[in-house]
Amino acid sequence: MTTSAQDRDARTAMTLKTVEGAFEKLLAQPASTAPAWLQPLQKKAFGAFRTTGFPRTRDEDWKYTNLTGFAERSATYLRNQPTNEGNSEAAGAINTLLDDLPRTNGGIRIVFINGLYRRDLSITAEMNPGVELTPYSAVDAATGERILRDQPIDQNAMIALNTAFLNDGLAIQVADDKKIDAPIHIVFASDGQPAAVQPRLSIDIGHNADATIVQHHVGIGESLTNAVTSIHCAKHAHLFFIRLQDESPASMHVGNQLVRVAANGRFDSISMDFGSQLARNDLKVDLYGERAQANLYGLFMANGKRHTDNHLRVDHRAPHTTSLENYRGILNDTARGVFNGKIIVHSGADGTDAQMNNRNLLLSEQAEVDTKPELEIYTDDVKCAHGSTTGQLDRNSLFYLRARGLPEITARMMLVNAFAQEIIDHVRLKAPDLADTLDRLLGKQLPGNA
Amino acid sequence: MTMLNINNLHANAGDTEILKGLNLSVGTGEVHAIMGPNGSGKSTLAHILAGRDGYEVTSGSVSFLDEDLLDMAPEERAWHGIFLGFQYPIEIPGVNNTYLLKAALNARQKFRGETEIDAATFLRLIKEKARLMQMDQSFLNRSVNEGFSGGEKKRNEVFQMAVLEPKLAILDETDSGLDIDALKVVAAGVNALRSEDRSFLLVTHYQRLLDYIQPDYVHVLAGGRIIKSGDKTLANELEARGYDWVLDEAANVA
Repeated sequence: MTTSAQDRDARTAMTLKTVEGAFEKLLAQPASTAPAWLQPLQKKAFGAFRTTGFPRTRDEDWKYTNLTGFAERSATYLRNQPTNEGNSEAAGAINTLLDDLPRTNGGIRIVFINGLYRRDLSITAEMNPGVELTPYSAVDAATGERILRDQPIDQNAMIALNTAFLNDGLAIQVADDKKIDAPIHIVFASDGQPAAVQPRLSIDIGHNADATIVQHHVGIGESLTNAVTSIHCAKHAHLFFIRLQDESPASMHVGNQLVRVAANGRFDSISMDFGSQLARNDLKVDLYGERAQANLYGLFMANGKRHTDNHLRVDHRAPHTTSLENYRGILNDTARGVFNGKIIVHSGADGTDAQMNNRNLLLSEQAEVDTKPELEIYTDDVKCAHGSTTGQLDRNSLFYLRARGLPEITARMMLVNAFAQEIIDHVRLKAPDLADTLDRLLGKQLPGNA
Repeated sequence: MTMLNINNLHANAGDTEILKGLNLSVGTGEVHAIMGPNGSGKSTLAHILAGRDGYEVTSGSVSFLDEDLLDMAPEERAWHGIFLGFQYPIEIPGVNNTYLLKAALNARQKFRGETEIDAATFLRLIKEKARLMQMDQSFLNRSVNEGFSGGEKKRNEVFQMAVLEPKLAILDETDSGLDIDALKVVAAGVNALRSEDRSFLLVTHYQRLLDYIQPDYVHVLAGGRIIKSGDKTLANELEARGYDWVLDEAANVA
């Protein structure tokens, strides 16, 4: 073994030891917000985390994304308990972030600061009957155990870490047959205090119910987020799920969404990463009921030296299930993007239709993207297609616009914007105010405005 | 007064010399037709005048209203009053036709130190020009050329020209791919814009367009040079006799 490899292993061991110390401290002095009923699960989860540690680039799933910096920042931050009331300076900055959020238009908004529920900043007044919103910190052991019964605990190292250091979370339950028009907006804000924030959301859409839910991450400073979301769509249920990660460029973000869709259920998702120096998101969708469907759209944008990694996995387990994936990346400067889409058609899932597409736009010579489709098919009666393109702005389009009199920078912005709008337009259908916010975020990152 | 003056222009595409000492002078208010066999350099000339990259001018000069045209970026040429109507107008999904025109007009206003055009005036302007080109209003709010037929694309080019009101319009094979009805609409649009302040350079392979747009001068471009110039009767002669006799004549002179 080379010296540098030995150094790396020593650092990894040190990091893990620090995390262990932090967990012992947590057991000795549990956070005031963390309900006691969580502890047995936390111990179980930490046991799982300890056996693997943080993912490493030797793991195939993490080949292009090095979590060393994330692990070390986690170890340092985990020694501190997050609080939801930082210093007044941070509070001012948080208020600015919250002021910038799209209008709720009579809908629900729930705010978490550093992973902890803030009732005073949340808007639940107009809450619909049939929508139950339950912060973990507010429930007794029996309810807590019911909420967590089907929850991911330790499916992978990052989920296990989230569970082990969980302080609070939110369960959203939409009753059978309930249809809600206005989006339910869940905001996870980080105020930059040295805290390893572990947001947790569990969503349960009842039989034949229909809802739009936004999971929105914002933050300032060198925050650290490891988010876990679990979603179940019951039979004939429809969830339109929008995930927007817009944390500060100095932040690090890992996210996991585990989704299960029952027969005739439909999960639509638009996942967007605009922020963080290092962002990794895993979306796993299990189509376990007949005719279940998933439409997964994504947009990731990175400039500077930022790194954004999207991993998707769709399991077709039942007949006549359909999935569509359409992810777009925009990379500038020396940014790096990763797209990995895996589709597994299990034996018996006859009549499956799976379409995957990833298109990337490189705005500089040094920007880079690694894209990899993976199909595993264990049945004959399937329709699967995948495609991927990576390239620069079309020179002919650019010349056309300039010949009409658009300055080069404007022409470039217009073309990048057009590329992104094909994803943002899907948001506009359900959440027009949020789409306007996205336009603004996009504008901020477009070349010339960096 | 001379608007465009091309003097001994030599230009390469890659290692191939396409223009080999081209001379052309276009006066204000004049309509010039550039004709010539395929591969003679007609489209190259149009693109070089509009500032497309991929060509290297090795010698010669081009002045437009007494300024060095070759020194300008494509958008600067547009602001100075040059318009290129494309032979193959491309589709740009996600870029709205009207939005493009508004941004283009206002960029030019800014360059000229003039105030932006207000929304109501702009709307009146594009509606009026759309009527001129017999274009359905719905085209205005669609993405640039997306899903347009060949004829609709060409009509859209002339519509854009009408809105931008250039000083020199270069129309590259605007007649290609048009049926006779579309050709009439396009020609009517061009004729409506003819004025003593505006010049046209019509690049065309066939004489057909010139039945509808009467040129003041006709030039034959072959082998990278203008080898014969005349009035509109030259176009008729080319239609009747083809290009070979001009090529032979030029070869004999050389």
